[in-house]
Amino acid sequence: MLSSLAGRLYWVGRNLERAENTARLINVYSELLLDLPKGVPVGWSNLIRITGSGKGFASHRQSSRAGGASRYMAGAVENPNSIISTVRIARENMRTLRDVVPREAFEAVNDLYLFTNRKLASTAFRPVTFPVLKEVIDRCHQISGLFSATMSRGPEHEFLMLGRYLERADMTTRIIDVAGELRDLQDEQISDHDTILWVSVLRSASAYQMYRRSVRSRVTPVRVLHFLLNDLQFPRAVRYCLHQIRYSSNRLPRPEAPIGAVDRLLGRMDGITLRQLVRSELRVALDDFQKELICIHQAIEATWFEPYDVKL
Amino acid sequence: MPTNWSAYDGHPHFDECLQSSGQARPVAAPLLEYLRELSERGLKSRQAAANRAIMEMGITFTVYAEGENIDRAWPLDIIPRVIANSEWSRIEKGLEQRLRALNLFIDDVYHAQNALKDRIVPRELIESSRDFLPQAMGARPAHGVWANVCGTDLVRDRDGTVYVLEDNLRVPSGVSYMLENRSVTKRVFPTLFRHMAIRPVDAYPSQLFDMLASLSPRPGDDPEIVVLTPGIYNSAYFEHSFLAQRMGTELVAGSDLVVLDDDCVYMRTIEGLARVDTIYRRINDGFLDPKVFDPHSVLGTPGLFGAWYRGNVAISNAPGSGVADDKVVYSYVPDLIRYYLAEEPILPNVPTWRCEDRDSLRYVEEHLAELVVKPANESGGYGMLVGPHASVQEVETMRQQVRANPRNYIAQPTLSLSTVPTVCGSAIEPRHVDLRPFILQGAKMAVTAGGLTRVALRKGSLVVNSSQGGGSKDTWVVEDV
Repeated sequence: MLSSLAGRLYWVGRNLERAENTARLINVYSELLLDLPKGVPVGWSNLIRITGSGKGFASHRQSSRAGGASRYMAGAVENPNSIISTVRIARENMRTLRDVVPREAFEAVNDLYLFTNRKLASTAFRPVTFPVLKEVIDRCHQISGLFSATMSRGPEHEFLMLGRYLERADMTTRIIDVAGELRDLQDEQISDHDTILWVSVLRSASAYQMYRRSVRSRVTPVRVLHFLLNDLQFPRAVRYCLHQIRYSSNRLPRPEAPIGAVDRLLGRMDGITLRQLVRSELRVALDDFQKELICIHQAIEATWFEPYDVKL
Repeated sequence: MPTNWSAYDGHPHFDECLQSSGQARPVAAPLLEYLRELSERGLKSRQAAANRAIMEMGITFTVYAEGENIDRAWPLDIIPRVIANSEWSRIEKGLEQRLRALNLFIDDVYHAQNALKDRIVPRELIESSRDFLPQAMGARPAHGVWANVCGTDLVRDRDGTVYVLEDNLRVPSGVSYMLENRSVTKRVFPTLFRHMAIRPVDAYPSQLFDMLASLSPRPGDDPEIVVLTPGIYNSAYFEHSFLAQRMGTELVAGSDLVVLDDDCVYMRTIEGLARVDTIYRRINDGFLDPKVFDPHSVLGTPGLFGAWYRGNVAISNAPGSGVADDKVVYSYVPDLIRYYLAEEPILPNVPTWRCEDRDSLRYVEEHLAELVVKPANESGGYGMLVGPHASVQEVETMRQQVRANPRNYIAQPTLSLSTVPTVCGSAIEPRHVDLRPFILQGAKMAVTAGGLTRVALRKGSLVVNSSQGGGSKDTWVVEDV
């Protein structure tokens, strides 16, 4: 299998996952902001920051308008992380994968592209609405479903999965990051507002229902953190994602470097005791996790996408 | 209501299916009988079924009909062009003869240059040709064959004579349409396929594969063959991906390949590097290797030309083949056939005036409004003047261009291209066609049974290029009755 093909599959996986996560984040935040009273230090700026779009947004002409942030994250073509941009990139890559991916998946990605162009492009004067975002999420689920139900488990599928789970692990750490800076983590008696916030965190990761079934106890910061970082059954938990990356890597040739990078991050996570963690330490730990995720990405890239990249 | 054929009354051109009396040509009789029994509705529903089949099969064409540079839907007219097998056998021999001579000529140009020494072709013509590659002098491609894939355009004039209009020796395209057209018409006219002995065309991808394999510098092994594409923005990208898929080979871009110190070509795979034996390139010479040609090109692979020159990889068509794909060189092909093969040409050239010749230039200038004038090395019908259909302004512009650079232009009489019945709304009307068969030459030769028939869909138009409002038709080579 060509390295470039593997790379394009990987980026299809990442960009579709990023589009879905971004749509969910905007949805949850829109609702959260309605529930929070004035004075609670949560705003769209948090969202802009966790998606790593701060700099671009500051210079964006829409930044000062109401709803500017959600429009920037959904429909701004100049924001490479916006829904519209990530879908466009995924679709550009899919064009060259016509013979590799199931045709229905190819068509579904193309439909998603046409849909986001119709509903999110030039949204300068139109609010980003819940039904549109929900449809983006639904369509992403449909595409994942097509990959899962109609694609052979060869290397092509594994590269899609590597992209998906790496992106997902990264996004989950970012979601935790925002919440983590708000209140003291070890406080058992959290206020209603904090509860709302932590529930939102779970919902940003589509995790609320599964958390309830798994934890069966009050929402506390430590329990939420533990669930989102370490749960082995919930498919958006960081540890679950890492195990998936490990599994997919193992099914590919010469997987030593990527697996080594995954194991190093798992080791870092083992070394952290959530119950004793204070806010500043969480911040440091999450930064560290994100750096390790970048290392995994680099190991994947160096092993499979750029073998013997000779400079001439 | 029966289908409407009134546009054929008093039709002045040669029609591939009908005689001037309005009677069917024998080889097309079953087709015409079938069409005449169809109702208007039956005809329309078959054309609609074909359009649906195209949507389903070639989804790229329709999905990407957005930007300027992306494939448009390719219009297929369902009524096929029919050719008798006896006539085709003769054309086939003529095509093979022509390509054999052209390849002997290219090999000669890059070695002894006997044809230039013997003044069969003027030396200045070759040395001034944009497609002559001095860097390729002395190269030895497998079997001495440079142009392994040739798309030769044929047209039929009023009196029924089939002429060669041009030889496409660089990166001829269209063969995927030929294959797709056949699978569509099989779905639309299954009964005709049962009752008429129509020669199949589906062997092309395996013939292409065998030809490419026969070029491998490592005979005996399972050769690693790749199709080299400039990428998704190229208008023929669909064809590149189609052929790679049908041959079961990788479709690569220049950046997928790397040339190492051993002067061999490798492709980057997830397993590591894999040696490449034959490259079916669909990019032009100038983009192959930034070390030798355009240093700014990012389409090619540094070192590729050297690897080819040293015989470590086969490139098809070989760099430099385009020297024989020049409309001035074209005018010498009948002489080249006599010179290299000591045979008379089976297929005639269209009479051609070379503007560099002073007397010819004078004639051309005096008769511009009647002639077709073409630049020597453009393709796709660009920069061409069809005198009888051009405005005074266009004729004058061309006059200036020809005067400024006569070497770069040829002129030919405006042929009355033959027609084929074509679905036009609810009626059946004659439309002009040409024909592009594909000829392969490696260890052996192969010619497609028929080829791609291109049709000028606008009434009276003679321009069949898909970039300029043309469509296509299936071509049926049928056993004589």
